[in-house]
Amino acid sequence: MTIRRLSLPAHISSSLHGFAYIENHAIGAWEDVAVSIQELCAALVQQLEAPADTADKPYMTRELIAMAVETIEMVGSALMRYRNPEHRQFHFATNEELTSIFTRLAQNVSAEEGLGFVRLPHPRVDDPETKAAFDQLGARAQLLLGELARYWLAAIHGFRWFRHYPACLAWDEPPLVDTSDNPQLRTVRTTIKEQLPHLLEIIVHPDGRTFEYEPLEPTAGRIAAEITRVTIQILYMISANQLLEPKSTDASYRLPKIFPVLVQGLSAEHREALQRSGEYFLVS
Amino acid sequence: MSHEFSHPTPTQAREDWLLRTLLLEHLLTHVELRRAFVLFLAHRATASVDQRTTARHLDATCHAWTLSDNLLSIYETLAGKVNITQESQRQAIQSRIGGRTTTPKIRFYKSIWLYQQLSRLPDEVFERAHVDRPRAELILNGLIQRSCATLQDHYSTIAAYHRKYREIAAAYKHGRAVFPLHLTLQTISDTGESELNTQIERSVISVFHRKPDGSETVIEFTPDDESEKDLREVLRIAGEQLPRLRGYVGSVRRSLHSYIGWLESGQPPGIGPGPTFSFFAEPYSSEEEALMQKLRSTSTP
Repeated sequence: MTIRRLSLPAHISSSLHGFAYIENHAIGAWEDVAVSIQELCAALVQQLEAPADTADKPYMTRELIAMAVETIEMVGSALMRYRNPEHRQFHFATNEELTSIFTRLAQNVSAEEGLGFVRLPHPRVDDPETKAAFDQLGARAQLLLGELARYWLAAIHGFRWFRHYPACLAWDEPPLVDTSDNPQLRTVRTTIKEQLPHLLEIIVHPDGRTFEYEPLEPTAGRIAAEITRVTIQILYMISANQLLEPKSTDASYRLPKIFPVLVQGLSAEHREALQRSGEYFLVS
Repeated sequence: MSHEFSHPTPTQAREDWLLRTLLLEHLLTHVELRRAFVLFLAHRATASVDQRTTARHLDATCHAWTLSDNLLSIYETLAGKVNITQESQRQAIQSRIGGRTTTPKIRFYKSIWLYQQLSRLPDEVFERAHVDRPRAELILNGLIQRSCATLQDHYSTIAAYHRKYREIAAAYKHGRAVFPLHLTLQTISDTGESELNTQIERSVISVFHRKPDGSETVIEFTPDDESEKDLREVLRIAGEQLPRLRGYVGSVRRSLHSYIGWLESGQPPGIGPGPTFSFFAEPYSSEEEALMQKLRSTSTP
């Protein structure tokens, strides 16, 4: 049977928050999801970079943007859980909850919050260089979370349009609808025509007698793919660092992991300090 | 007997009819591209034989759900009295279809876009085509009824897919809240109470659906022959309907351009060009084909 529904009895539904192993399973499952997202992302990038059929490229670009938005929403859901232990990881965050979280994050996220979110504890060693390196990690986490929030806020409207009702006009169609000869409009159209060779596409959203022009940059797909890559590494960190095995003899299971996206920009000396501390596992 | 028909002004025709037509045309283009993408995902899933198979089937199923969502929106646009020239109305369709917990019912009977114009054609249209009006109206009504029945049937299939996979697709779209878990309930023999068993199972995907009353339902998706058949049916209907709808809307656009030109010329004597109609009522009898041909040939200026 393709779809099976299991209604949980009231006494289980009401105590589901106590099922830590389900929560851990859910977080552990992110690794599987992350791999599948990366695979699909790579397949889309390959299609985008294929030399043929330019008609598909705007569509593929928007699918990549959509994928980035959906992946960032995993981070949003994880943030919900981080801030509110009552929120279960196996429930997705609503649009309203995500808007609230990302609006706040876009304006204000501390280094401390960023590091706590990816479950990285402060170093115990009393080494100034390790502490300095750790502060750099905090600054980087702060930057990344803010960037992801801003990307989501900027992309979400277009994402919903693309997924649910992708109706629009082509860039040269508004004059067919509105024939009034307005000098301002003529200037706008001339500018758009000049921009067009540098863009993948310009679509127009009409609203009565108003036309909103939306350009699609040729780099938008690659940027989205990069955003997805960064977001996945953050998710890997949360997943790995929540499910540590303190007694394991394998350092990669025992120690909190730091993924490349967080150490990017750190000097070689700072990386060595973190490695030398014996408190973190730097994933290559 | 002449039928009353009030021509719009050129501005009204442009800002309403032409704008709707252009919007619908681009919507159809995007949805055709989406169909091609779902086809790509479906092939990818079918060809998969490793541990990624379930995930790939999930990708295909959930994107097919989005395709079904788009198709329902197209049908809603055609059948409903929605002014899609307004951004707020286009967004309202989004929440009407995708945002509800139940799939809305749509009736196509006679309300499909522009079909109602057929009952208001001036006598001269039929005179120019050398057809008997009462007989032509009988045939046209038959074509409309059959078209509506076809669209209704396709709509029902798409709506069924939309309902069936809604929770899975919602969890997938909203931050991939999907998990390779198999959950079962077991009765404790001493107390008679149920306890929950969970195990990791990579051949299935589970999502947790919490209702407003706090109760939880776990919905487990197993890619199998049934899910593949369901997906293929959506692709088949989309593959059949989208090109026809594109052809239909394209012909309306071309006719509208001619019609607006006629309006702007001050409605010169004689009948202006009318819209050409497309139906979804195959197979057609020879009499029906002949009538459609005659009406189409008189529609071009």
